[in-house]
Amino acid sequence: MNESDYNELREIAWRRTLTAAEDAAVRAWLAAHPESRPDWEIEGRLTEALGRLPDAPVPNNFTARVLREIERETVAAGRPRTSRPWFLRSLVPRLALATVISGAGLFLYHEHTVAKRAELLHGVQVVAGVSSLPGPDILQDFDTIRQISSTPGPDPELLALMK
Amino acid sequence: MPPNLDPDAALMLRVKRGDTAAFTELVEKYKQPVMNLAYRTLRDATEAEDLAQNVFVQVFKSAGRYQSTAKFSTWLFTIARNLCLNEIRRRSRHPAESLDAPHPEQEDQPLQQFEDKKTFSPPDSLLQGELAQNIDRALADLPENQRSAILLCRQEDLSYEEIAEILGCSVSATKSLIHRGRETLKERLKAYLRSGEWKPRD
Repeated sequence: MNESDYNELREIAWRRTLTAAEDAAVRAWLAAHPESRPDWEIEGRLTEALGRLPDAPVPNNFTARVLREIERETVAAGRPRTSRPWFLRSLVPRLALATVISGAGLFLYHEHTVAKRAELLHGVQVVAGVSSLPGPDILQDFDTIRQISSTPGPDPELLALMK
Repeated sequence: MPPNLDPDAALMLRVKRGDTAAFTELVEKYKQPVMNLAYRTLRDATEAEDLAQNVFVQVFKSAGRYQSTAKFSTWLFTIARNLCLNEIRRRSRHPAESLDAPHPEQEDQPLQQFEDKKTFSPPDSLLQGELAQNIDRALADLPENQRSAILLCRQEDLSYEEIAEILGCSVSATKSLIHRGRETLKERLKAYLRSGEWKPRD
């Protein structure tokens, strides 16, 4: 036996107990290569420890529960509602949500448009009222009149002397 | 039916025809190894139970697609591992604290009480319990593919070729995963493995 055969037997020992012939071959190898013995022993202890790991607990009614679940799913699959393809099943709620969101968006947009129109109408009404005011000719001497009103008032003493 | 058909594959052919008794036989035979894989992958007894149940439901639902050329246990463990991976992905997207997972202040407490089917004297059983917990922890810390490879390796009816098929990699890559996983375990458990006796912590 060469090292490759020894390694192969080591890999077999990870999975199962060696046969008597395989075990004898390993013993012969270890007798000729004592430096491999500690590693072989550690490997063996690890395999044994892994083998002694306790089983996970399985409930007594496990099989009955599996059969019940299959029956439940079979009954559910028989209903026409669930016979729709998966993409339709996932599409319907998404479409409904999209419709609600789009509807809400359209309603808000409509409300916004109505408010804008009312505001515009009010502006037009204000501008329409302006046509009843005097024409712009009335403001022809506006600047002159404005300057007069800003000049100082008459001097009473001067007025008295003039009298 | 081919004369050398795998007995489980023969049962699956009966399941394909709607034979519930054949399906029950398969569930009874494989519920423990599937639960072991699920529990040691998810580390949550309730989730492992639900997942194992789902594995068999999937087996029943997919019976029509089962090819008798494939070994049943390989097909079964492939489904089990895929569901475990889905659950791991789901957990990473929606992390939540498991009720069964250990809390930091309770790390020294047992994770789960198991019924130990092997017979030990009381002190030995205590040591074995602590050793089992330490192996469980060391296994849990391994990367998923190394852990699955080592756990599947415990299934004596699975060859390396079949384990490789379940893991979706080559035989040499599978052996490499097992080797690396075992090296890590040896390092973590060296106190026990060197002496052959488990010494409890003070």
